[in-house]
Amino acid sequence: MHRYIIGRLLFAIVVVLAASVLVWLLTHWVGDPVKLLLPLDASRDQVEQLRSSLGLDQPLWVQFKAFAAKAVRGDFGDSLWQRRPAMTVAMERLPATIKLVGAAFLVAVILAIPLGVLASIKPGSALDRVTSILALQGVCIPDFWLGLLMMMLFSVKLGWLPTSGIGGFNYLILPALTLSLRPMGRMAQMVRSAMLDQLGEQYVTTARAKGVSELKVVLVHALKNAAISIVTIAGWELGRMLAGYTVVVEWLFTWPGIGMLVIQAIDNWDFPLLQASVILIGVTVSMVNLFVDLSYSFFDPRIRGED
Amino acid sequence: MSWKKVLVLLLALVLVGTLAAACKKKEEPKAGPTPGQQEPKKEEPKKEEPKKEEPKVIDKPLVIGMGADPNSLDPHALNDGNERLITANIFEPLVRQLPTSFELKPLLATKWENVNDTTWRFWLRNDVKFHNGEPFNAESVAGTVKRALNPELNSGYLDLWEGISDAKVVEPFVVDIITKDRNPLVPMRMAWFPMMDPKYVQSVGKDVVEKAVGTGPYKLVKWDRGSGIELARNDAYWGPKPAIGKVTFKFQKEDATRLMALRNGEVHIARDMLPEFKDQMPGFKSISGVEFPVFRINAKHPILKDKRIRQALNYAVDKEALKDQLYSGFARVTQCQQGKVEFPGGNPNLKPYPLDVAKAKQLLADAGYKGQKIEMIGERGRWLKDGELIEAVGAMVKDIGVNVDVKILEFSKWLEVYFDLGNPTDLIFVSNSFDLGDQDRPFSGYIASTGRSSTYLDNIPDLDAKILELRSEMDIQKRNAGYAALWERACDDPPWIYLLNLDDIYGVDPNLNFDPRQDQKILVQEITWKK
Repeated sequence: MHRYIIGRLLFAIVVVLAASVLVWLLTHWVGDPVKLLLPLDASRDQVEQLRSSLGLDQPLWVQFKAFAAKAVRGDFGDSLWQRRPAMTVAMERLPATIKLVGAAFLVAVILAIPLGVLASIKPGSALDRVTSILALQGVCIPDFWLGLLMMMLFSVKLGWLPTSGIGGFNYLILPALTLSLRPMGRMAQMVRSAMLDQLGEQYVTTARAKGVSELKVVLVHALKNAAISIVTIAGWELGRMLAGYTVVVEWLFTWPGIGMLVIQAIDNWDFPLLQASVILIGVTVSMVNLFVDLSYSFFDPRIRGED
Repeated sequence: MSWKKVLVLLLALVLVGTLAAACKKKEEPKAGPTPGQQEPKKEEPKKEEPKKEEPKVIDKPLVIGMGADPNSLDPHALNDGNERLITANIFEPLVRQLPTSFELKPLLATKWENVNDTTWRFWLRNDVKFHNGEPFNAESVAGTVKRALNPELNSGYLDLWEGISDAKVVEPFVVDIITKDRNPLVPMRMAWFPMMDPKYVQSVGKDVVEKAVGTGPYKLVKWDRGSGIELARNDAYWGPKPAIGKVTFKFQKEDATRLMALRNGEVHIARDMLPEFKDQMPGFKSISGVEFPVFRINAKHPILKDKRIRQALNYAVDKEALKDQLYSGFARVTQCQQGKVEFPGGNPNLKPYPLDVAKAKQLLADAGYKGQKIEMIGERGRWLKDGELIEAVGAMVKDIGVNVDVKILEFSKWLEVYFDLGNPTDLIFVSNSFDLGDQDRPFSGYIASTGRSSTYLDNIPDLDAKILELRSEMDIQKRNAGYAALWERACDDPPWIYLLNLDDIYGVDPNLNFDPRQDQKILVQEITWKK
C-alpha cells in the first residue's frame, strides 16, 4: 500500500514538473512579450530597456535556469500585469474556482448517479431513452451557448438571478449549473454503462436467486462494484473542469477564478502569471488524480493488499 | 408502446418551449440615437405645478460595466485603458480636456504659460488636499513628474509625455515643467499626467498599485480583484460635490454578459458595446473616438512607390459600405487624413477618396501595373471587427485587378511583421489611436524617414525638415496651418489606405444623464440620475 501511495505521489510530482517546463517553453516560443507589452510606436530604446529589465535579453537556457532556481522556491516572479508576485495573484483566484467547481461537481454527481442507475435498471425502456437524451444534451450543448441562454431566461426574462459576478449563493447558481451539465451527461452515461456491466455479472444473478431485494442488489452490490469506474470518470471530469471547462464559464459569468485569470494573463501577455496559473492548475489536478488513485484502495481491497 | 413516444414528444416540446421562451425578446428595445451622435435631449413633459425649487439631487449608486480588470491603480504604470477609466475619478491632472474637443480647461492648475523654449510654468490651486489629508502643492507636482519619468518605473505613458524631462518648484504653488526641446504640446501632455502625493507613494512602496490616494472627487473603497472596484464620494473634495455618492466598476469580460447585465439593470453604463447590440440595449450613446484603422503601405516597394498605385488602392475601397455594413453606422469615413478634421491641425477641406473602380483601374494601367503580387498582412481579434475589415478591403482591392494575397496572422506573429521595418511587408493593417489629437505623431512616427514605424518614401527632400520644424513650432496657428498643408500632401501621395474613425459605443440606462467623452474617460462627477 505504501509503495502504491509513494508511486502515485512521485508520478504527480513528475507531471507537475513536466507541465512547468512545457508552459515555460511555450510562453517563450509563441511571441515576443516585449512587443506585446509596449505601445505600437514604442521606441527601440523602450523595447531594449524593457527587454533587459525582464531579463529577456539573456540566452534561453540562462533564462530557464533562473526560472527553475526561483520556481523551486515557489517564486515565479512578478506578474507583469499586476506587478505583484505571480503565485500570490494565482493563489488568490483559486478559492473562487474551487467553490464553483465544487458546486458544479456536486450537482453533476447528484444528478448523474441516479440518472445512470435508473437508466441501467431497464435498458431500452422509455426511462433509459429519456435519460440518454438528457445525458447526450449535456455532452453536446456548448457551455457558452447554454450559459447565455440561462442568463437570458433566469436573469433578463424572469429576473430571478443575477447575470454575472460573485456574491451570495444566488450568484453561484447559473455558473454552477452551466458548468455541471457536460460532466453530468458524461458521468450519467458512464454510470449506466458500468452498472449494466455489473448487473450482467453472475454474482448479481446469484444474489437475486438468493432472494435479495432488487433495491439492495442494485444499490449495494452492483453500485459498489461499479464504483471504481464511476470514481475514475468523476475524477477525470473534475480534472477537466478545473483545467478547462471553467475557463469558458468563468469568462462568461465573470467569475473571478483561475480560469478567467488565465485568459487575462494571455490577453496581457503576462507570462510569469500564465506560468504560475498553469502550474497551480497542474498541482490541483494532480492532487485530484492522486486522491482518486488513493480512493481505489477503499473500493477495491486487492489494491490495499498489494504489499 | 405509444405512451413512450408521447413521453419523448412531451419532453421535446418542453425543451423547445424553454429555448423559445429564452430566445424571445422581453420587450421591444427603445431605439437609440443615430450612431456617432449624441442622444437629443428629450423634453420632459411639463407638470402642472409652476413652482419648482432647486433640482433634487438623486444620490443612487452607479454601476459601470467594463471589459477588463485594470492592471493596477498606479496611474503612471501600465497604460491599458482600463486603469485609466477608474483612476481618472481618483487622481486629477493639472489641466483637463473638454468632453468633446481638444481644448483644455484648468483643473489643479489655474493658468499656465510658456516661459522659454524649454519651460512651461503652471500656477496651482492652493485649496486642494489629497485623500490622506496632505496638501497638494508644487512639491507634489515635481515629485510626481520625477517619479513617473524614472526609468525604473518603465511607465506605459512615456509616449504621451514625450519631451518632458523634469519639473522644478518655483514657489509653493508655482511649478515649472522642463522639456528637452521646444514642446508646444506640454499643456495637453499634462492632461494625461495625474498627480500623486510623492511622500505617500514612497511610504507605501509596491502597494501603490492597490492603494490609490489622489485629489479627485472619488476615493477608493475596495478592490475585489477580478470582480470589481468600489469608489465613494470624497466629501472633502475641493470642487463641486458630485451627485452620485457610490460607484462600482464591474469587470465583465464577455460583451454579451455586459449586455445582459445592462438589460437586467445590474449595470447602468456598459462600455465597449458592439454595433450589432444596437437594438438590444435599453439605451445607448456613441461618440466618435480616437481609433483609426488603416493599411500602412510600403511606399519603398518597387511597385507601390508609384503614387498612382497607392491612389488606386484608396479609390478601390468603399468606405461607406464598410461603415454601414460592418459597423452599423458607428464610424465615420476619415477625410483623407490619419485623424479627425477637428484635431488641431486637421484639414477640413480634404475629402475622402470616393469609390471609383474605373479610375482605380485606369491609374493602375497608367502606372504600368501588370498583376504583380502584393502581400496584405492583417490580424484578427485585437481591434473591433478587424478580421472582417481586412477581408473586405482585400476583396475590394482584388476587384480593381490587384493581385493581392491576404494573410491574417495571429497577433504576436503580426507584431513581428509590423516591427520588421528592415524588410517591410507591402500592405499591413493597423489601428492607431491618437489620444492627444496631435498631428506630430502620425507625421513623426509614420511619414518622416526617421519615423519608428515609417515605410514611406525617403527621397522627399523637404518633408523631414518640415515635420521636424512643425514639431517644435510654438505658434499654434502656424503649426496647425503647417499640418493642414502636410495632410494635403499626404492625401495626394498617400502613405496609407485611409479608412474609418470608429465610434465608442456605450450601453446606457435611460434614467441616466450621461454623455460620453472623446478621451474615453468616464468621469462620474459629470453623471447624474434623471430619476
